[in-house]
Amino acid sequence: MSKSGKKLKIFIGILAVLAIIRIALPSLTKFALNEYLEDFSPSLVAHVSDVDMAIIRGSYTLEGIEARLKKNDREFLKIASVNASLSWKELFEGFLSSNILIKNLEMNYTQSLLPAVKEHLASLEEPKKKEKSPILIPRIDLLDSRISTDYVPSLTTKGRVILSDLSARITNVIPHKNSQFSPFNVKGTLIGSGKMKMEGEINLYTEKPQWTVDTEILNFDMTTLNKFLRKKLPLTFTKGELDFYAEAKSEAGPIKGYFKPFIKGLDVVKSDEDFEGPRHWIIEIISAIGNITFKEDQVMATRIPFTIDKEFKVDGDETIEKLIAHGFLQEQSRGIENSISLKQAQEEK
Amino acid sequence: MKYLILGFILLGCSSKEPKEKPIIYPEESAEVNTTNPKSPSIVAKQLAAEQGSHFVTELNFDKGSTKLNQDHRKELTRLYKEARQEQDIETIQILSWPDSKKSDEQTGLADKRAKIVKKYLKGLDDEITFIEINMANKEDESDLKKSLKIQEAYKDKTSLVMVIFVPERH
Repeated sequence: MSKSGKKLKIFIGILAVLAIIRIALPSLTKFALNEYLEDFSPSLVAHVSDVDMAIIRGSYTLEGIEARLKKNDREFLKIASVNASLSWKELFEGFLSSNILIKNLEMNYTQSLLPAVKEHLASLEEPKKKEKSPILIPRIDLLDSRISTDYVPSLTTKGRVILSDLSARITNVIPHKNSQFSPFNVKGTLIGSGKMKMEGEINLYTEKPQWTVDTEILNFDMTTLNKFLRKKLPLTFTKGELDFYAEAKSEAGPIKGYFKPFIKGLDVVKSDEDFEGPRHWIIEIISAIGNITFKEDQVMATRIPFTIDKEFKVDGDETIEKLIAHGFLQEQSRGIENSISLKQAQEEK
Repeated sequence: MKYLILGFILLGCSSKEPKEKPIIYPEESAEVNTTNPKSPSIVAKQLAAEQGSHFVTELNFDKGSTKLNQDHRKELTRLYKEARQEQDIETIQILSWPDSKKSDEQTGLADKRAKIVKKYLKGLDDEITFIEINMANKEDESDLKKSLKIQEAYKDKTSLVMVIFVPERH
């Protein structure tokens, strides 16, 4: 055999080996990953159905992810696909940088999920905070997802869905000294009715996370709450639409903020449920006045400051003052005030 | 207390117009309706944070205008000084939006806005690399544009120039 023929055979041989490795790589990765996910946590277990790789493009996709609780084998998470992109440019600069895109996530919140997650988190080692991390996750996106729960069945739609059409983004997921904040936003439909938006920032670099969040829920059909309220209060909404705004923050301590409900065209009727003593007295009085039917364009609104420090507390004095002001003097402005900011709070310290 | 509050909510009713008119963002926007808009917006903060930066600003232009006013200049100078004080700046990214839907004229308008901002910043520091992204230009397929498209967070923005100072690390 000529020299050139031998070289060609070696070249073809190398190519064949590389091709076999390339073909086998997704299956080998899937096998190794599933081995790991089987035993990565004392309380949780997960499984991946398929792994796709586009090595030159730097795109890696996991498909058909399912996660279950070890204790009762209940499925709490299903994800159609998770795509991680790898930046070659940043790899050559010494960083592993990957954006993550999650599509069609379905999470089912059950009563046993929280203890299982706590058990899992307790088993993890505390990550060391670094001034500069060699791993970067610039952004995680969530698209076309939903959250369901069997925890409060009276507050869900068919299929126990509490939040649908869910999309979200969090950026700078692994913060470092010079870039500590991770801005995030969430959008979705609440109980099949209200359009919900949240935006905020979280500082995961500090020992205890600090965060600020603005929330908006628009056009929420109040009658959606009837099934839930029936068990708590002797009232039924026959119509009414709620717009809700809230701003809150926590600097590793109590949560402080305010919320502003706007209720339009409300019609409330007293239900036939029994009067349950002093807890229902105000409802009884309001119902007795028979004054809770409003015109279509009439809006009730106020601003309620609150603190959550182990329990939810409302600043009663300020609330009543605002109620009188908004009831008789000037209507409350819709929208958040942007009066709470994490940066500002740090400067005040 | 909660029942008392509920009772008062029901009474807190007025037909008078509110003093402060809020900015109502479209449903697809990431921004929450507000009487006091944040600057920079959540979209701008996220785009900067993706690149390990928190030095970002948004300059709003009048319709049809490419003029950099005194407030724009002050804001760019403030941000440049703050950024330089904290870190070495490698690149400045300038994303420019037109006034309305894409057309050759609107693409040109967005381009002129980016150029005027770049010219001013070059006057402050001509050693920095500039990246201009015209949001009206269909052919421009930069990573930042792709990032904005994922959540469709670019659609409701108009007459705007977003400036991001990216630190040397990247």
